[in-house]
Amino acid sequence: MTRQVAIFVGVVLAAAAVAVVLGAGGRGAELYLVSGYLGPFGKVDAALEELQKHAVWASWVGSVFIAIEDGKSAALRRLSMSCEGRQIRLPNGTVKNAPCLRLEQAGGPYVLVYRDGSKTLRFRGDTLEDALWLTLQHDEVDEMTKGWVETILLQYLFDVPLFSAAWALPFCNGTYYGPPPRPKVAVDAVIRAFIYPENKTVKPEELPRYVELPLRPLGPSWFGHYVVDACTLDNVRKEGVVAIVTKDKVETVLKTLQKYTDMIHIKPIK
Amino acid sequence: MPKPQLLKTAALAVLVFAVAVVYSLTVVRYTGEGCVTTAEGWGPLSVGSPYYVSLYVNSLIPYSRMFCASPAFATGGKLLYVVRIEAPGYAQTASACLGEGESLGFYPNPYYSGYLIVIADNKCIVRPSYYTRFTLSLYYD
Repeated sequence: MTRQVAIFVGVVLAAAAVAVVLGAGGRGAELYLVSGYLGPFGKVDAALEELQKHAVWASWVGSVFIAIEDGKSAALRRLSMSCEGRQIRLPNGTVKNAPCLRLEQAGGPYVLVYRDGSKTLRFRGDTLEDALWLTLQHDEVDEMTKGWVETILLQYLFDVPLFSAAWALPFCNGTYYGPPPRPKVAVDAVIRAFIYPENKTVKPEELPRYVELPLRPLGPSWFGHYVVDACTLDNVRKEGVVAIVTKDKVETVLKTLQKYTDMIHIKPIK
Repeated sequence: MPKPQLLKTAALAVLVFAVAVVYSLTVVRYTGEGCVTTAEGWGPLSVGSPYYVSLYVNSLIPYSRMFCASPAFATGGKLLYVVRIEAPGYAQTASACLGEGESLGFYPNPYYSGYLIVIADNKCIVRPSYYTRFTLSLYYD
């Protein structure tokens, strides 16, 4: 089958699915989007098989990540955030005000200001990288802030984009809902690195790999979620199920899903 | 043993191993919640060496004022969730903007594992504040 014919068949199938959904809605049925997260080791296929008996439409779903902003600009934006209302919730349940690092001057030189209660420290560097390293080298900066700084330093140095999660659904017709025009998509958004503040060195072990996909943009979102056609990517993990159900079936579908997970989300759709 | 038989046995051994890995996983869950006006941190949790870590957003409620003071009329939105496991000199981080019903996960390197922190930054679709509840699942073999 040629590519054009495959796309045509895909579009016809998608149109048929939409017609079924709209048909159900047209008869006065209220529709709900139900999703359940089972994780990569959950019994996704079994849950889907049961769900399909009650749903207008159902599918497995995975998670992928769309680049929405370049790394350098995202790092600068995150460092420029206000410190207002920052808190840390400790495992024992107590909440305390978080120390805060903020970029207060960008260029000529870069100045980062660290505030922790009455303590204020300033880190000046000719480059942002220099100022970030100075922060990491200072003994009086708390460990959680150092962790946050390392994350931003890696994003800045290796221009790791800011990612937004998208649902990977097996439409198999090039479907894409999200920011235009063509998405840069990663299956994993993990960064691993050795960091040596003492000699200002980073050895990245793994950075997110993303590919630009030639998908058909169909709109800004699909019922509030970015969506990428799972068939265009390798290694997408089945992590959950998504279904469109009529109001009278919501209770049944909920009970069915609760056998597999308690991470369930239900919302009415138009 | 004939070659096809050997291959079959090897394939079975791999399958049994895979099944054993999948079904012997123990899950430890944590729930985090709170108001995020600019950034909020949870942790540090001593997690040892989990085989897999995932974060699922149970709810994300937008507010039209700071400190989750007045509910917004429009629903939706996203927060930047950062899940970080660190050991001395080594960091592994997964981060993404997530909305309700969305998740991220990764397989931590078992040789460099220790403490986990979650940070939520209000820098994806900026609103004054969001109230969030999330589930952190740690899978151990």
